[in-house]
Amino acid sequence: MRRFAALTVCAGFGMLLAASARAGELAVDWLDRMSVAMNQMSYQGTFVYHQEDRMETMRITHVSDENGVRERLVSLSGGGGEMLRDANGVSWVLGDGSSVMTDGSFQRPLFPLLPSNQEGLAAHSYEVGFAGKSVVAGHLARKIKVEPRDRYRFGYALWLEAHSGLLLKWELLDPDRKPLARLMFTEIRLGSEVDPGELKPARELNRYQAVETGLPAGGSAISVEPRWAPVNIPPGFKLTAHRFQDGGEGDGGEYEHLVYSDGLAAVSVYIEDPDGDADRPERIERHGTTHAFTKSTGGRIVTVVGDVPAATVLMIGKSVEPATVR
Amino acid sequence: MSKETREIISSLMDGEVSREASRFLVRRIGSDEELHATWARYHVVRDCLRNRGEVYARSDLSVRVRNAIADEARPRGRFRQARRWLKPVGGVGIAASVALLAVLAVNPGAAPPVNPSEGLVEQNVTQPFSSPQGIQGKPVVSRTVSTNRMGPYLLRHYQVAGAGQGRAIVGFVPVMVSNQRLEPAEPEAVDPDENKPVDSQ
Repeated sequence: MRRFAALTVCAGFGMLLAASARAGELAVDWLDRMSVAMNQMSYQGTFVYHQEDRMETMRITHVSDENGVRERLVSLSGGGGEMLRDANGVSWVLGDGSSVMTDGSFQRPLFPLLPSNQEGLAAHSYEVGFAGKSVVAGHLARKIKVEPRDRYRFGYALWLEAHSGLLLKWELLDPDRKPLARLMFTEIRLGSEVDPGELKPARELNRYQAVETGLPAGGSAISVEPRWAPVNIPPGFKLTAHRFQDGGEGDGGEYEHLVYSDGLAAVSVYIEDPDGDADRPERIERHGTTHAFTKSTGGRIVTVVGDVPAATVLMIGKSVEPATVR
Repeated sequence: MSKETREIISSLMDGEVSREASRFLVRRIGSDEELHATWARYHVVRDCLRNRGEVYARSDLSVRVRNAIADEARPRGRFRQARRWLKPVGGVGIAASVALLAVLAVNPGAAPPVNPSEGLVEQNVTQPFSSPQGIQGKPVVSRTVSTNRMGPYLLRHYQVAGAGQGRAIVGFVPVMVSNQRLEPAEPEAVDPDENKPVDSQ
């Protein structure tokens, strides 16, 4: 009898531990779950994106199958064109309806995926927790709050489909927790219900005028230590990808791209030989929810972009200098 | 626009329309300016109803805070202006009518007049988002610029930083929506003692 009581207590204690472990890990783990679902599931739906005075109705078709991941994002309001992504890279049919900008894909060893939250990177910079459940686009969703621990990053509110973790609604929050932008599905279909026919662009891409990006293609990168880098980086951000290309015998100059991430937000730092005027005044700009900083220093043009507050791109951008200086 | 059409849009927003009908309606909304405007208005009203004072803040927070403080000094005027803002919305379907009552109940903010900033060279001057939620917006003075300059950097950034994380949608959408808008921004001061930067590796 005594043994039975002990076993019962142990079992109860074990269940409590398991429950508390589940409760403790779920909120953060759901970020990974979301990433996996968004990449590996097939889904198709219509969503509304609201930012400041702009409201766009858009449609996404995301197919993941034996042929890889293919995705098409199209503005139903007509203002934003369409975006197509597959193993060959990304093509952006611009809102003017007559031109397309294409950026080729990158080899994984040189451009590894950003670290997922498995390393706990995001937990250092954000408070992550549950915030209830609700129905979005006819699906039960768990709301996850992701609140930054400082003012160098934005916060998020995520509504994730209760079983798969697929993102159904998303809010970007400023450091005072006010919404900067919101995305919400009004209708979504999953798996075999997805019509892959919608992956096809409105017109064949070769019928658009190609816009030159001016950035080097992915094939010629070499693996070296960063030659230029920021001295000051906000807490929690780590270098997660680096790419260097010298001009070689081509007509391009040196090009370096560093990506810093805190596990959720990412900042890109581009250092390039100037194409023309090498004297650029320091300038900070906003492009939607993205901030950008540009300057020229030491004969290079520095460009920093990221979905982070202006203070973050400013801190990083102003401190970029040759690595040999340190 | 007929009352039935407005009610159908309202039902679409509430997820009460069949998938086939949804697809048809969404395409219509994308191509019909009047439908799209109604769709947008309904979302603004619903957001106001649901969020009770939240605001789609821009990142120029200091300006917004100043404007909010200025707003608080004249609440009655704001209320009258809010009623003017609401007037065109009146007469819509049942859902919107309910929403309007709720909007009045939470005393929404104003639709402020716009004075374009002086001294800026501009090709396009757009009105700010007239937030129904109570905080005046700084006039958005946007310059239509070629996407050639920042577009490639954004495209590559989101391809590298976003796609692998399953944030492809969220990453590319703001870029597409803000396609031709590039605005000067002011960084907000960060308390250096609270958030010390770290040296890179």
